[in-house]
Amino acid sequence: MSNTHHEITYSIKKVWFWLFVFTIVEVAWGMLARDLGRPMLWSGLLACAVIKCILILMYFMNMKWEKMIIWGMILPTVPLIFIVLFALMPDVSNNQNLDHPIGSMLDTESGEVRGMFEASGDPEHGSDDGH
Amino acid sequence: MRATISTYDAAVDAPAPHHPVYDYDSGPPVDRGKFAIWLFLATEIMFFTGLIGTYIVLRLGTDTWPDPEVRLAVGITALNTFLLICSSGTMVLGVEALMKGKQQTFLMWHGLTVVIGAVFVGIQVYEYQQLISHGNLPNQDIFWSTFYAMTGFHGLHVTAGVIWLAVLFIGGLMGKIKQEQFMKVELAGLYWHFVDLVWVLLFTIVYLM
Repeated sequence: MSNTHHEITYSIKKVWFWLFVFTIVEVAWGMLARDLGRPMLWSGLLACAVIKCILILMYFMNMKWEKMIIWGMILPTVPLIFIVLFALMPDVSNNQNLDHPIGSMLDTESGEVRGMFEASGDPEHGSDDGH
Repeated sequence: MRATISTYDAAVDAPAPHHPVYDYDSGPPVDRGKFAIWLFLATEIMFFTGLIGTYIVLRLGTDTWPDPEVRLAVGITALNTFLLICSSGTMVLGVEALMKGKQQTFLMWHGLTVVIGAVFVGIQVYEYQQLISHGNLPNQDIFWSTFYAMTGFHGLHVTAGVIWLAVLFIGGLMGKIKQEQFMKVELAGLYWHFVDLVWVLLFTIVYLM
């Protein structure tokens, strides 16, 4: 059992501090960068999230010190993630040609198909194009 | 073939003549528990990939999407995110204390982890209660169905983690979890950090993007 025993050699509080900092930066970016456009907003948010994930994975989950056999179990999931995404993508790429596109809703009274967020008149509905 | 640890009967327990005897451990070169938990976490990665991937595809497939900042309470969830990150820190501090044989310090940090985890679940339940009371049910539209699917399954994982950690905490109080059993706590910690990691992604994708 002790074959994987190792001392914690990094500063837990330092990792903790940077996770806290990136959470603050991420929330602030999410609130302040909405007018910069979706690419800027999303890339900034994802960059913060990925950095935090790497910190948790490498330090708290000890992956920085793990043997290849552990990496060998985790790394294959990376291409599998993209395979899942690309396997689902054809649904989106052909979305407008479908009778009931993703995000559409059938109005049972009129029989019309309309956008999910179109007709409610709710001011909370934003647009992906708007970011 | 039956054997106990204390009694070894050569006539019964000795390997059969045709059975090869290795002079090395043929198991994985890491702790078996750690090997198993990482294998489990790999399947969990694919589970959440299915949920998040479907959300991304559905989101890209719609012309418009509600602004999550308007529909969801981002502030209190940011606080919840901070709490979960704190619980990962207290978890590591607890494991470190147990490794060094500091039983009371371990109990303090580990107990704090359980409390923070329970508070996270409590805040999420409160959020759900508020949303549902305003008529925001999973069947209302695609935004809410994906929201409840992703955060709900994550919440179940956190709940399972809190129970797991609480059982270890009680074991620690009863003196059954000591320095020699640190790996039991470390394995639970790996699961807990994974749950934290997933939430970091979910918070970004669901609440901020």
